[in-house]
Amino acid sequence: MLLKNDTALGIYVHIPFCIRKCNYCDFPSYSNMDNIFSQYTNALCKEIEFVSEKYKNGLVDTIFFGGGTPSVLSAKDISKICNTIQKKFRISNNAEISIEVNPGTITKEKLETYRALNINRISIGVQSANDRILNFMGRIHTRQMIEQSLELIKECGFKNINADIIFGVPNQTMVDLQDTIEFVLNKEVTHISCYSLKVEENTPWYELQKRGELPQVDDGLEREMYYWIVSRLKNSSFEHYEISNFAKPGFKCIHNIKYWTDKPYLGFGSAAHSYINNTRYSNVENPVEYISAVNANKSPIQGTDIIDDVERLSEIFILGLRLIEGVNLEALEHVFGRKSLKKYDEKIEMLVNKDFLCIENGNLKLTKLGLDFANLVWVEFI
Amino acid sequence: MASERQKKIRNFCIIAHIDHGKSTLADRLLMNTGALTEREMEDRVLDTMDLERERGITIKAQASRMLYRAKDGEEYILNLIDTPGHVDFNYEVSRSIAACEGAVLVVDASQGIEAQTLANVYLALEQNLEIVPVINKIDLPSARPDEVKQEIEDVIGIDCSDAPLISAKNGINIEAVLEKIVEMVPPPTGEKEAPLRALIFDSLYDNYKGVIAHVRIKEGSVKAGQEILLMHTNKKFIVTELGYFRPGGLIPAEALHSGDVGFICASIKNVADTRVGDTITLTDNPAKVPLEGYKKAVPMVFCGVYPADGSKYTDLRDAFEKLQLNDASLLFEPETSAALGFGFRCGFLGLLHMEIIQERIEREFNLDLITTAPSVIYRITKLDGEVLLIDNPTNMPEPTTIDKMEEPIVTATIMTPPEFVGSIMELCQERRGEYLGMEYIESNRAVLTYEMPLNEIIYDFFDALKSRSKGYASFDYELKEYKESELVKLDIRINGEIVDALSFIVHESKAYSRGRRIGEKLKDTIPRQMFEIPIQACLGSKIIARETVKAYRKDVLAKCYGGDISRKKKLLEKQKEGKKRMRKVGSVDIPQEAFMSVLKLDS
Repeated sequence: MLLKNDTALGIYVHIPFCIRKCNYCDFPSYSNMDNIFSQYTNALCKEIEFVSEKYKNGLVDTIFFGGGTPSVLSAKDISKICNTIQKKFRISNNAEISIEVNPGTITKEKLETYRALNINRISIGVQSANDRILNFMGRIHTRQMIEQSLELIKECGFKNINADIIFGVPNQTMVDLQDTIEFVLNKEVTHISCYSLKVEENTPWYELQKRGELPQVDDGLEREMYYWIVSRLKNSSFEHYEISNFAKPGFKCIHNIKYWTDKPYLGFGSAAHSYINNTRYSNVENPVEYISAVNANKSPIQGTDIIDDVERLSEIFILGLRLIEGVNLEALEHVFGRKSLKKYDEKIEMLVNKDFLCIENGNLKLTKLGLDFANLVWVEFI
Repeated sequence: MASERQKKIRNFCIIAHIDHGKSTLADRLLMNTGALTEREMEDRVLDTMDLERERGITIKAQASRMLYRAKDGEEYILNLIDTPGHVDFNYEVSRSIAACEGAVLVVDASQGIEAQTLANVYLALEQNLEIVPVINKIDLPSARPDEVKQEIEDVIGIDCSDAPLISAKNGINIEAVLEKIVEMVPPPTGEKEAPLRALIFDSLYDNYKGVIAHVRIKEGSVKAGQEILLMHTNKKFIVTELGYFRPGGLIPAEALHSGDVGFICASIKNVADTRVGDTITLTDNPAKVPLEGYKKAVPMVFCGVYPADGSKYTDLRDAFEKLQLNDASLLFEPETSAALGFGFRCGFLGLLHMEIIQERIEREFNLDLITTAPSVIYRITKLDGEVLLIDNPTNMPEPTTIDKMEEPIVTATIMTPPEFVGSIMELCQERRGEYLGMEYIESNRAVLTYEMPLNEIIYDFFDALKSRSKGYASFDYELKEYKESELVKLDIRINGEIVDALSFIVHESKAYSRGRRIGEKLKDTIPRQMFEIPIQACLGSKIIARETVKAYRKDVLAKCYGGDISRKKKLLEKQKEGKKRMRKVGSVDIPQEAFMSVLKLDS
């Protein structure tokens, strides 16, 4: 990992809209808000213009449209936002520009617009290739629609494609999961994110679970799925580079890696977070409040956290250990000094003794066991 | 001869069931006599503790003096002594009653008489107090004043034809209560010239004045500067200040005379020196015999109290010491548990007392507690003739060395609407109760009497009773005797190791079901860990129940991007906090909730 404080910025743009909210989803995303899409787009552009004044000279090397479902916005709206960013920031020539899309929301017109805007990475929410499971999750699409979407994406010339997968879903068998992985491998995607399902509060599934009506997922089976994914994807020359992320050589997500390696980023839109100059900012979650704040010329920032060096070091461990390569202890010592690192010595030794962590080529990283119990590692660094 | 002034004094207390409006009526009386203006009257003045106000109960007795010009044109001094309403504080109640000549009996016009009310009325009748019945909450739609009057006449045998029908809450007919007090409660007797005999009915610690003894002067007079003698503790002090009570404060006076209710300060540093029920006299002209009825309050329920955060042990000790300043009946001594570390073995008057002390420590001193299962005092006779009194299961001797074990038995009185009689009898039977009898007061209320082991009552009996009667049943108990019983010590082994804090003494017939329930509760509250954890309930080396906490296979946040970081960090912080609060037994982390979950098995 690089610790040199290079100035290249990441930009995250949050699009908090979906056609329907999935049964497991606790993200700041809303359905049935089509009527505010254009107001939201305008507010976004206004926020970008305002904030950019402060970071005029910053070079931007990644942009990420996340959600929600950014692809629910019209081609026109996305163009407006993208053009504003490109007008207001210096964007590097080979910048990684990603957009999240969901099957059932993309059209040829939208994809062609994306291409024209220099968007070069598509992240598609596949989740599962099994219609029974897709339906149970509350997804709006079928396996066939995923296939059509992926064909269209490739047809439009996109070469860097990520597929999001969720595993450990109630009623999901090993065979279901294997079929989903083979399905996306067949489509020749270049990046796969595989997330183990966590039933979060304030979701329909959480309510089901509370009533005892959500089938339990055996965590033994869930781990078997995870181990299978890791080995299967390695066999197809994917690199396992983060707990839940796999990439073909040259296709790691540069934007996401910023989050785990102490790099600065600016977030725009409701619920977006920024991390810059030792400070983390968070915008208001609700898009309606966000719009009215911006329209009233008020800052949509709701929370400000100063990250001092002690906390920064703690975050570097917690986030950096998400990466399979881990964190480089020497580089850390170089930046923070021996004294600051000293307080972790005993903990690291203890975690190494317990076989949660190991040190390889000067990098501290999770072991296989550590990947299963990473929370127990992180609590030692918090 | 009683003085003219003495003839104008009326000393009374108010007897009522929780929620029947005792404190509200007290406030109304204070307001109507001008002792308190409406503006001053924060709701419920006499209950000064937050806890009392919230739970609608009176824990410590309080007193207040008011002046009332009656319809006969004369001005009277009315001394109200507010009493705790609960059986646990029975002893304080009986002392308060002993300080009065009359008692206002407040009965809710829709609820009728409850068990504790009855118990306190009997106490008052024993002391020959004049009972002034008052029917409260008559403005409620469910009020049935005539039936309730009849019920009082049937059960207690006092005339209610004239009883004021009032609403303390809305200030209806309060004047009638004051008139009845003047008319019915006799003035105090007692010679002003006789040697001083003053009954201590309560005491309170004040940081500046030391102990403030609440007294009723039965005979004689006392003034500042005189040397007093506490007849039972045999301690002497010089009176520094004395006077009367006003709501929430004190009014200094020159002297207190026979018939008066007031306070005496004498630079007394220790509340235990002014035991409730003791008699104060003067050293230069002492009374020959103390007032009767002094007895030490005896704790009946014991449990271990530990700080949730082990490093807070000294804070906990300070908290106990401070509480003890005002509550001489609270006992505590250091104890050590292998599972919980350093803490205290505490003795309480009863369950409510225990609950209140725990709650006060948590609130007033901001300490989180872990408590162990409550225990009673068992009497164990060993084969070699030695008799042990055991209040902590850990101290129980080897079964092979025991000749016999005895446990305390109480007489329990339960009042309930008849439709719940069946399920309450079932509950009492389950709790090894022996049926003594049942009476109907009117057609809609039954009084059940049972003889029951105290150790069955201290174990969530009250909650079970409330849930089986939809909250309608009320309950009172009184220690009767010790009885021989087949008792065993039940141990809980977690991952093979006995957890001392979870051991308890139980009747043989209950051991199996109790052991199984505890196993189930622990299984639900002990989080899964990296290895399988057997939970076993054992009698000696015999395992009678077993549960297993399965090993977990993973504990990892799968997702963490820019917007998640703060939230995920909070989750990890919570996890760390939770881990810090766990107790390690062997290699197993046991959370605080696991220890607490076994205290309520019925729910």
